[in-house]
Amino acid sequence: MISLQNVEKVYQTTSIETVALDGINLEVQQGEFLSIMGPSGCGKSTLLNIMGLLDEPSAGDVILNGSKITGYSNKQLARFRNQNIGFIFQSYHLINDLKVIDNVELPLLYRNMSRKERYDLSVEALTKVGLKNRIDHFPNQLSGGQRQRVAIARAIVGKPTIILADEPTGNLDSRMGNEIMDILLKLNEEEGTTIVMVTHDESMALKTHRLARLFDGTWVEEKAFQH
Amino acid sequence: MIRLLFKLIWNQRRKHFGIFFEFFFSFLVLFAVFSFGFSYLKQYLSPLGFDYKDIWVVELDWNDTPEEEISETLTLLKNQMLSYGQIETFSFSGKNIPFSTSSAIDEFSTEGEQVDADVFKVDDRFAELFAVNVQEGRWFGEEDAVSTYSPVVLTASMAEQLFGSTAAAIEQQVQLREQTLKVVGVVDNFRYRGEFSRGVGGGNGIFFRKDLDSNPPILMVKVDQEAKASLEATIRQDLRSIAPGWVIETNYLSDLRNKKLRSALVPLAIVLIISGFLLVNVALGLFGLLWQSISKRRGEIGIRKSMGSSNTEITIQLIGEMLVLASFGLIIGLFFAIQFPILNVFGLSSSVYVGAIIAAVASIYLLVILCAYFPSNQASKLPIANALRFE
Ligand SMILES: Nc1ncnc2c1ncn2[C@@H]1O[C@H](COP(=O)(O)OP(=O)(O)O)[C@@H](O)[C@H]1O
Ligand SMILES: [Mg+2]
Repeated sequence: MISLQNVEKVYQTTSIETVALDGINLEVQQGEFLSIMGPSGCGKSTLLNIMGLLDEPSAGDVILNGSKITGYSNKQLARFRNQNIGFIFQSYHLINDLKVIDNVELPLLYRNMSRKERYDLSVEALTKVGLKNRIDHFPNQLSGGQRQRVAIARAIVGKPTIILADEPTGNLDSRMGNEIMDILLKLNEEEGTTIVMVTHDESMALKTHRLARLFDGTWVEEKAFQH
Repeated sequence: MIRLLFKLIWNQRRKHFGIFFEFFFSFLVLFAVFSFGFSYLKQYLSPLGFDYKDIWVVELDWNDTPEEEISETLTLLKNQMLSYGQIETFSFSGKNIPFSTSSAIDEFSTEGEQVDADVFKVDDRFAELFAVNVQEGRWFGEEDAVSTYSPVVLTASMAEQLFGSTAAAIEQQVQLREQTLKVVGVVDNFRYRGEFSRGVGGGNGIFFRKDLDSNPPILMVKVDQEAKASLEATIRQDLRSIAPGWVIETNYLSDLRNKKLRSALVPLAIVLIISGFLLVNVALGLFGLLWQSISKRRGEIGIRKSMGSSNTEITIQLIGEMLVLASFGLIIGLFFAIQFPILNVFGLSSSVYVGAIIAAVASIYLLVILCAYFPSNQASKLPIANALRFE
């Protein structure tokens, strides 16, 4: 499903060179829920961005759903992201000037779909995250937990096979965080969506199938859990 | 897609107010510049109402010749002119010949109307000399020597203003204070001031058939191209011997025209420079504004790209948004601009205003596409991971 082979990422700035990822190998199976932990600045976001084709590795290969993503044009990358990947970010990244429903519809705009279809799918996704009655609100009229649920709805509306979540509960208190986690777990169990989640919360990681620890751009530990 | 564009813009209306206002303002500036330019161009391109080619102008000044001799000398001059075989035609006229700086304006009226008009004192050959087109009735002739009322010929503009149409003017009477005049013909507007002037009241002119001994006249001669040089020398010599005390100055009408055009050039150049400056200002203003507004949206661009929008789609979306915004500004601007032809402000024709509106709208859209393309394209290429940091 997701395969990273000797992925390296070096950030070049005028004075210094930062090695964010140093020869990363990773296999994520279909339907797996993987959590990634590690101290701040160890390269977790970089890794997720490369997996999600938001960033290119300096070296190494990314293989998603059996396709080797090398030399794709920006248009091909955009299409691939649109069809296969849903993103959830720590700071939600909603468009504040659009209503909840329009935010959720966003990924569908880049598909050939009628307005009605888009609307129906968006309502369906919002229902799954329990926000059906908030479709006409603006993001700043919602709590953090609700915003993150909107972001989840947006991530799942296009029925992607992979969800990448970068500290989805990082800005939330534990109650709201648990709600979000429950939605992700349910998504993984019921729909078989492959999920890779970066988290700082050990208790969240324990609920997933496998935990991998990153330190200074390399793997330092890996644990599988039986539930 | 379009619907969402409107939604987004509507939701951001407060943020967009500045841009919106800039479009409105830019439109008005462009509209003014184009109105001015088009009216000038239209003026320049519309017919003068006469043919100025190959006309040789002899300005006569009888100095202190005794009065009783003047009429006699003029008759001699005329007979002398008639004797030349090689000239096409000639004509005596008052001072205000085409492209001259002289003018004579008076007020004329009918029962219900009153207009100002340029007054031309001319003879029977004047129309032939200038190839003036007679629209209705006729030009002056021998039969006018015995008429009760002074016969006059009007320009089309004057005939329409006094009588409603050119045809209706024929045989009608016009008053010049106590004096009653009778219209015998209507000719094309005679724009003797040249290409850049419409003339009094939009082209009002009235021709009087006059004996020319009241003021020193101007003799105009249409000369055969072949015989030109030698003929002119002969004529000049003969004139000197017939009227030895008179001062004679000669010119080509086409040279007078060039001089007139040149004198119009300086103000025209100044206006063009100001217009150009305004246009550059508008373009720079829009460019700066669009650049700023687009760079503020890097976060949103990052989000859209992560959701599957390609660079091209981002560029198109941003340009599209700016076009929609421009349209809002233009709608308000149009509302103002439309008043000009409706209220007939400045007396310019509606076609000038309509042309200016179309040109201004087209230029705004063109400017938007040009000015939005570069920043949009730049912004769309920003790596997503970087763009998302701006959120
Ligand atoms: N765009 C960038 N330019 C330069 N350095 C970067 C950039 N993005 C991340 N880094 C650096 O790469 C390292 C890993 O960053 P990141 O993946 O964001 O870490 P994490 O998400 O684990 O906190 C850090 O040292 C960070 O400063
Ligand atoms: Mg991070």
